Amino acid sequence: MTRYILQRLAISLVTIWVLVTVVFVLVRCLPGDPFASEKLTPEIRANMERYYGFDQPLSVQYAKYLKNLLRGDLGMSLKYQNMPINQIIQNSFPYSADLGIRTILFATFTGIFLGVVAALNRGRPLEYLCIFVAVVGISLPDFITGSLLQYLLGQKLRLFPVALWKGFSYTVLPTFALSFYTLAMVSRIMRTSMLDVTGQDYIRTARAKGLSPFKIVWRHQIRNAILPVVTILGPITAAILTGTFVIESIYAIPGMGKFYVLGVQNLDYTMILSLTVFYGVFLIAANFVVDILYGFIDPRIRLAGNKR
Amino acid sequence: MKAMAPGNAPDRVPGSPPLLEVRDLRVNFATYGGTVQAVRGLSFSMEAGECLALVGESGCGKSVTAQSLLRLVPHPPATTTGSVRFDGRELLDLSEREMNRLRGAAFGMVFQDPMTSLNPTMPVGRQIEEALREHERLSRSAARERVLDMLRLVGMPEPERRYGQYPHECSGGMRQRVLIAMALVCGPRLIVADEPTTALDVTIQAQILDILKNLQSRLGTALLLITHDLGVVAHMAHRIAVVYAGRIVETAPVRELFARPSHPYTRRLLCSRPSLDGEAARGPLCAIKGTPPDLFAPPPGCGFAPRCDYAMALCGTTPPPALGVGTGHRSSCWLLHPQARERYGDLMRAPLERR
Amino acid sequence: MTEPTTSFDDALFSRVERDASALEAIHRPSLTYWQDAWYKIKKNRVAMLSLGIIALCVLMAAVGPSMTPFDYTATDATHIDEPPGGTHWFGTDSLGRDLWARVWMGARVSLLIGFLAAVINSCIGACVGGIAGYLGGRVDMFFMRLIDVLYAIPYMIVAILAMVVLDTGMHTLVIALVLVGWIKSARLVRGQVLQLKHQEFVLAARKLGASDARIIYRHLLPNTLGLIITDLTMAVPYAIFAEAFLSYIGLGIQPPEASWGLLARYGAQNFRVCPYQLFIPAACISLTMLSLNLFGDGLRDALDPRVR
Repeated sequence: MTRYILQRLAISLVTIWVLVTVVFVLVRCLPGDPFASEKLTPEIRANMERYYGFDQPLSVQYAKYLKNLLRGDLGMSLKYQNMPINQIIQNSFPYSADLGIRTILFATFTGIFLGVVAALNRGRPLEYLCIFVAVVGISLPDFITGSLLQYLLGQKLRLFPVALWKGFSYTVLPTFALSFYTLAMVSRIMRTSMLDVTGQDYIRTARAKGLSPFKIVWRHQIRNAILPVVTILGPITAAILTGTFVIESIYAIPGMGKFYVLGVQNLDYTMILSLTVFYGVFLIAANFVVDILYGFIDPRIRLAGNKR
Repeated sequence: MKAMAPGNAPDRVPGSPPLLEVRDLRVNFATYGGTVQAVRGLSFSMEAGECLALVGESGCGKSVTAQSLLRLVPHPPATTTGSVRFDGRELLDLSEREMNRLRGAAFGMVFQDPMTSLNPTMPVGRQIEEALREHERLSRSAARERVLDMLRLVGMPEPERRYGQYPHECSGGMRQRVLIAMALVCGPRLIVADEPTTALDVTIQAQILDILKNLQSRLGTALLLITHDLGVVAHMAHRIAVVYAGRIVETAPVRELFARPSHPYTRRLLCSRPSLDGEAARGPLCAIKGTPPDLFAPPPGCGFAPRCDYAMALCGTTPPPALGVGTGHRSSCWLLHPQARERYGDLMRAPLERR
Repeated sequence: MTEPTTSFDDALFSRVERDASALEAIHRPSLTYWQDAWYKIKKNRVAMLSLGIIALCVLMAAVGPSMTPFDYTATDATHIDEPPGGTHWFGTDSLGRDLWARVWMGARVSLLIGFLAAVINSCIGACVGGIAGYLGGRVDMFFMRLIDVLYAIPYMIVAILAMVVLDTGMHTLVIALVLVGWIKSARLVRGQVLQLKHQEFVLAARKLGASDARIIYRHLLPNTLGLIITDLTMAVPYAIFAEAFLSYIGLGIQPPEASWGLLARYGAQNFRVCPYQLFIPAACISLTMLSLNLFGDGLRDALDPRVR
């Protein structure tokens, strides 16, 4: 197990380094001049270049950049002058995290539930209903779900607030819009994996023991079927995270995603790249946690290191 | 392996019903290509403490028979008809809940592949304990003790350590011991062992058979052994039932069957294996020509007729009834009919010839 | 010994001659893998209906824009935000451009990008995965570490970064989607090849002296093709979604060009007043993705030899 954790940790660190370096290279290859839009005298321009460190050799810049990153300093926004990006993240991340956690919990639990219901009702209308919900879910991009829910339930039926983030009722639409795709994905995987497990010999063994159907499903089927769902928790986090970009824009939630999209639209390069580094590191860390979690759930991995 | 001569089948008190009586069992599977008739009217009975072997080649319906006794065949796609009486109770009429009370308690099952028949995410000890606690009200510690006793009984070294291990930490032989312990832990009256040694190494096979045989005679449990291996049968069973294309073609006590095989299929089967001392067959091995019938559209008469050297017109049209050949020895073949004997003589008495 | 039995006509006891050739004959006509798959997919009504919708979409993308006299870029200040009607079948947008023409021009771009990106991804993925899996050893180690690292960086973030750096446009969109999109297919194909490589029939072929080329062509490729095709079908809706997402946040296709994501973006900005401007492109994206997903599901079931 220790070996497994160390191995995953090494891969994560290398990945972070690759990401950070790619971002650094990209900053240098950006088309055009970050100061081109502003009318600057040569002196101010030189000052600004010195301020951002553009006058030094690349290797020095790279070292400084890495040093700043290690200290957790992501630099300044180009658009919001003198606004450290750390500050922006500090202000906006709680909103995004709130939305993200709600979404992950709602999506995985509902998805697993739907998948189990579908698998246990093989060939009945209930299964087809679950499959239908799932396939619609993976076919609707979240920006469309978000806009449609906002229009129908918010504007037309006035069941929920149309936008902003000021209390539970405000969270319902964005959470659901953001969950739908993930929920559908989880329920599909859960259904397939439940059906796979149903055909396994050990389920027959459990039946031959005379266990009640509930105990078979609960102790033997779900526990084994849930493993593939755990493996996609990493990609799920990534999907939800990119989903927050549009959902936060649609519902005017002051989270990081909104700043990211604003950064893209304003060509605020430092902001885009710094937020990318932040997102990247966050996701790689999340993937690492999922890998470890998986190791704990599956005894075949957990014990692989201790085998004599 | 210790040579274990099969003794005589335990005698039944006259008038009491047999432990297990299967009458005209039929199992059909609906597939999109049509209906597969896996079992086509199979009948046999077993006494308490007896070891009966169902022998046949793969696809002949013996595994399906084993599983349908415990009603483990999924419905749909399968439909089962006929009668399975266990201790006088009709199993096919029981509710699923009543059936669950019997599974694991009154009869245990040992499966073919110990590699896949254990839940990979649950310690093996707990998997046995689960069977015990489902049927008996026991404290955790009492159940644990019983499980450890059982593990010792099946010859598991270091049972305390094994108790907490996961299946992937155990070898195939160890896993099969776990499955046997699981089948026996509630003290069942019947064990159904579906090819218990097929997936194991030859050396381990002998050990597992020894364990099964020992426990069976010690605990007085009846054992229904499903196998394609006549060698296994010779050492284990009291009686043999030869299955072909979903039906029993011949039943006989072990020695009787090896000495006087009375169905063309059994005779060919014996020719196709190396001989043991005291058996009728001599000479090089031979294969049975042709393939088993298509169970989507089985032949109307005798299932073996298309491959039989002695097939008669009648064989192709009418399934033969079981005719008595000797004590406890019955064979389903038209050649045993008086009119056929009159015409061809007693073909079953001819020495087995290998061609 | 013999029990009394009914007597029969003596003729019935005459010996019949066996037809030796019939003995070894196969009873049922055996279907090849592909015949079997074709038979199964033909019987799957949902999949066939989906295929019909996809075909219709492609057809409309080809002929749709020329069915109306309006050019998809021509603005008309006198017909702004006109609802769908007799002249403008899908209405007009806030610049008075005909939406029928724009939606079907958008279909061209979205479908082309979707199919192109998916095909390129699958090809690269199949090659890399196949080579890594087949050769094994160091090559495999190298590719797997590379893939481990790349896989941890979310797909969408890489695509966003690429789009920030590259010019916007169709070919750059494809490049952005291909950059890391092949990894999923590569992992999939590698897994399959690795599994096949160790199976007995490949070993048998090798021991019989088959060359590498023959083993790949006759044994590995046919057994992996089903997987590759299914993966491809599933990759198309994902690429369409990715294009729509990038265009939606303003990084993809730029006006006056059109794509479904772009149309959805402008529809969303304006949809309190003219909901049809969002509904039409949203319906197009959703329906296409739904059809592709359903068709992919059908194909996967048809190509899975275990499902009969």
